[in-house]
Amino acid sequence: MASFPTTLLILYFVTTPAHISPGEKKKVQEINANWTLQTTSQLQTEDPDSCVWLGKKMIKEFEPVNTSTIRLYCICPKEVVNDVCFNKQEKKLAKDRKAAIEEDKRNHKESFVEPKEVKTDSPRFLPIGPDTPDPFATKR
Amino acid sequence: MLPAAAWAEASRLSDPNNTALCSIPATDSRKKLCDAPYSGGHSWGAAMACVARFATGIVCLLTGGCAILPDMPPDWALPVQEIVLHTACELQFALNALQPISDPKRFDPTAWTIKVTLNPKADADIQPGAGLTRRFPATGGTSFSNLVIGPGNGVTAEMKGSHYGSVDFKFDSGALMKDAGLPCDTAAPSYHTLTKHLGIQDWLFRAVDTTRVAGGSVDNPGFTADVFIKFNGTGSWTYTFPPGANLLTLSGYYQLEESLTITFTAKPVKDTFKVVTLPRGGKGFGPNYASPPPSTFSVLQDQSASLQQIRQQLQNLRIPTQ
Repeated sequence: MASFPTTLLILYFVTTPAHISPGEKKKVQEINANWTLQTTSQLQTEDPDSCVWLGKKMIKEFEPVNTSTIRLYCICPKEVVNDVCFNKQEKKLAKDRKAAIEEDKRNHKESFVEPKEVKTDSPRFLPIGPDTPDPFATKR
Repeated sequence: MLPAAAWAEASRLSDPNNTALCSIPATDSRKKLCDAPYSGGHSWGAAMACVARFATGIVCLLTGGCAILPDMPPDWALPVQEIVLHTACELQFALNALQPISDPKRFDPTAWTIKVTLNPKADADIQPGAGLTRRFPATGGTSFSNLVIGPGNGVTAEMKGSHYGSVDFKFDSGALMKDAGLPCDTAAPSYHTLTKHLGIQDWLFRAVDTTRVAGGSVDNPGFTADVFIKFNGTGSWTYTFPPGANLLTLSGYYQLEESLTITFTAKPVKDTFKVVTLPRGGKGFGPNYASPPPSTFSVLQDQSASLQQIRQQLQNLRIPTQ
């Protein structure tokens, strides 16, 4: 049982109205504007996938808004092992690291020193963006 | 000018029976004003009718219909393009020459907003005058009366008009110094005085050199060049005959004043820094490098420049001497 559920942290930023060139993307506007943190909110979600999915939905909702924007993070408890909170790439890196250590151990038996273990079960703080893969996309 | 028909109407109103001596034919104009027939039988009543007609004509003349509005000087008299180009070139030369020798704390040539104001003023004034003298009786007798209308050269009217213009040209001193595209190497074809050497560099150098010795810093330097041209003319016509004389005078002037005012206003020191006001966020978000929020400096600077111009114009006012 996780100590806390996967939490969606939302930071709301606002800026003053400004002239926006027709067709200018929100991403470009975000680069040049002065943003002020207006408020934050936390939303407890069922699981990491739902957290990411909700975050992406929120980003899409704020896309046409010029005077405010959001930044979203999924906070995963350490017990949760999931492709989102502990994704495949990290799993692969951990596996590769373990293989490299084993190979080094075989080749340098006498001088080999066991490296310090890297913890991979720490809580995760996952930034969500418009290009973050949709966890339900492949499942559907 | 007052049309001849109006003169005729004025005559008709003042003397409906057309019995007075000061008849003015409708087809003729003012040259026959009070041109009395050569006769010795004038009475005081006839004289008063003549005065009334004369006064009517003058009142008509003064109603504003004959007021004049002088034209602004044409391009050959005020070559705006050449004057401003020459001024910009001289400013560029002066600032570039002063940069290596001036202490930036006392005078930084790159830290000014320069306004060049061209202010042409055209004034025109025409003063037509008319008068007459009459003797009663016209001939003979040991005693007679002399009627004189208008002192000196008679009754005069004044028609005066003015036409002023003003335009500001704004330069950033730093940008002006680096502007290699200014066609300063070509000689101006104009003979206009304002396209000649204005002496801006000499004036600035003296100011900068003074701060080097006396301390302080140069603040709001200014420069005004003024050209004044005046055309004056006077003419008169007198027709004398036994009963008296008819007088007509015409005088006027056209004056053109062109002033070139250069004002320096210190640019506000703005820090050019970038701030990050938004976290990077997840995949697909871009960075944030925001500029500082716009301040009111530019508005204040503009007001300051305008006040500086007004101050300089007030300083240039002269008390008219007799």
